[in-house]
Amino acid sequence: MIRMSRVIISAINLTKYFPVQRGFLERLISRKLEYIRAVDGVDLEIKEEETFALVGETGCGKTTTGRLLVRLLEPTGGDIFFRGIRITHIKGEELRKLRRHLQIIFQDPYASLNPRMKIGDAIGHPLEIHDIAKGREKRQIVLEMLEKVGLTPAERYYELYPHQLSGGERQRVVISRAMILKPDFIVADEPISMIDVSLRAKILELMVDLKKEFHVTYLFITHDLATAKYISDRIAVMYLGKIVELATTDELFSNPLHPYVKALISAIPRPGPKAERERLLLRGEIPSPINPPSGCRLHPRCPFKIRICSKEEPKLLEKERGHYVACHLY
Amino acid sequence: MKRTPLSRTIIPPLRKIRRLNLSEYWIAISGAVIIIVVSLMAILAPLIAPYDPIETVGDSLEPPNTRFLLGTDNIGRDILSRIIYGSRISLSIAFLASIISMIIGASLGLLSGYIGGTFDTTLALIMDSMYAFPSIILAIAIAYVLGPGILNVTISIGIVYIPVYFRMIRSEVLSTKESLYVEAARAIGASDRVILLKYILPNVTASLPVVFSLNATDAILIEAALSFLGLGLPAPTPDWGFDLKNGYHFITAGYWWPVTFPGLMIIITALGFSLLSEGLSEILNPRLREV
Repeated sequence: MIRMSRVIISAINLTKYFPVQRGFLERLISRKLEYIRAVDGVDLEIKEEETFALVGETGCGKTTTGRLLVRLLEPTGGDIFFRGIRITHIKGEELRKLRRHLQIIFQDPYASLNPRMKIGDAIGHPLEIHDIAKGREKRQIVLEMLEKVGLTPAERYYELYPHQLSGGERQRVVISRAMILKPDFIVADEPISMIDVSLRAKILELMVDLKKEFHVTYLFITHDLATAKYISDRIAVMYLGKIVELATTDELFSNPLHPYVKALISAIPRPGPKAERERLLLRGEIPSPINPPSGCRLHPRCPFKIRICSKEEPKLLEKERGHYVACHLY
Repeated sequence: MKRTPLSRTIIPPLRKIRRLNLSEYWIAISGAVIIIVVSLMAILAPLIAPYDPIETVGDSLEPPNTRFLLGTDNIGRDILSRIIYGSRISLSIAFLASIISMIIGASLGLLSGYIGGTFDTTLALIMDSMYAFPSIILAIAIAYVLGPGILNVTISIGIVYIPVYFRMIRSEVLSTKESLYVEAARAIGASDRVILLKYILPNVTASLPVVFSLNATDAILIEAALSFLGLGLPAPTPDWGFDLKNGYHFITAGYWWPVTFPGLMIIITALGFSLLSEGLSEILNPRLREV
């Protein structure tokens, strides 16, 4: 736990705007380009060997943040540092080499494997790309990895094509492919949300086992607070492209500060008919990320709104030790 | 798609990869048989043809008989021999032309779709304007400019079909390059070249054999048409299209054989390629095979 204090990856004021696609006629009529502010000023620091969960509703920018951090998307603004080195704009060969350290597990195991590539070749391909192993040696490493993720008999799985596997098996393949390079940092983008409920726990368990073995750092992206609670050391909650609260998992669940986070936590079903709790309900729907509300982005829905909320945007500040929140109430 | 879930202790019932089954692939096989027979005819022409195809060996317009199984044409040449030798011309032009257009069209489509931008827009515009012409008219125009001869006919038919491959491959590339597994390939550090060759190319070629066979079908028909119109090969060369043209003058007088047999050969060969294209698409695509 001593090494936990070292920062492995950090983002400073990270932004990503996607231009809104418009038709030819619309472009003639108005000149103004509109943007979806998917990620709008995110600051975070992820420490070595921790599991950091990024939680939020659909469309809040959590996936975009994950893709930005592993440089699959070009950031619009801000900076990304990997082990203190600025990687925001590196390109070409340098970027290819960096990929060895940063990996991603996608949400959809059905779409993230090349349908024309055998399982064994798919998992072994990163080894070839980075000139680590070839031929027999590669095969041996891949077989070991298949055993580790529970795809046995490994020899048999090696020769199969993705369409011959179930969703859970495919996700194991995707995890193997990300792990085979022994990366330092893995973004797991909702890795269990498309898998049968009965298999989810197994996949999570596998990820935890592999983490212990390979000493990797996870950024675990999920919309499910219960999953985040199970797997993560620290949690950041996003709302409309911004982090609204960041704390250790225990702290966040026992002492949520931000109204949005309070509402999320109060929505988790609890076992037992007598379990008492206060439900905090937010009014309305998430506003469009094209024109986010002025000031605090939650203010049109927030029951604790005060005057300043609609005028000034709250900053993400440390309210207690290691507990950051962006809210005018604190 | 969901199969039995796998736990660490239970070996899942893995689906066996099916062996090539003759009864299942009868379409492709019948097509292939036709093409093989015609190809053998072409290769073995000097051995199996009873007469020299350009010599006058009988009387003018003899009906089919024991000496000339399919009769003779207006200047007394054996039609059977001419058909056998004619397959050489038809097949070689069809294959060569299709290969030319496939290689050029597919590689341009691959690059254009992947690179995108102005390069793609320009190339797509050129290809679309070529595609706007009816193929036969474009072929006639190019053949006219190049002049008669086997190579020129091949080139003109080949050029006509480039846009077909280009459009097909390009549109497949456009959708494939956005797919998650291509992004995954980028994430593991694959270079553009590797992504194109290992992740995109194998996933866009599924319909290539189908288009190739269809293209060959059309190439045979266009070649026949060019020869029919006199833009194909010089006179004594045995060629199905040329013989059609030669024979149709006499059909009104009741001489049906000089036009029927070359016509039949064109149809049968074209059918062979069509059947092959249909059947191949099923065999070569593992996802279709699974169903």
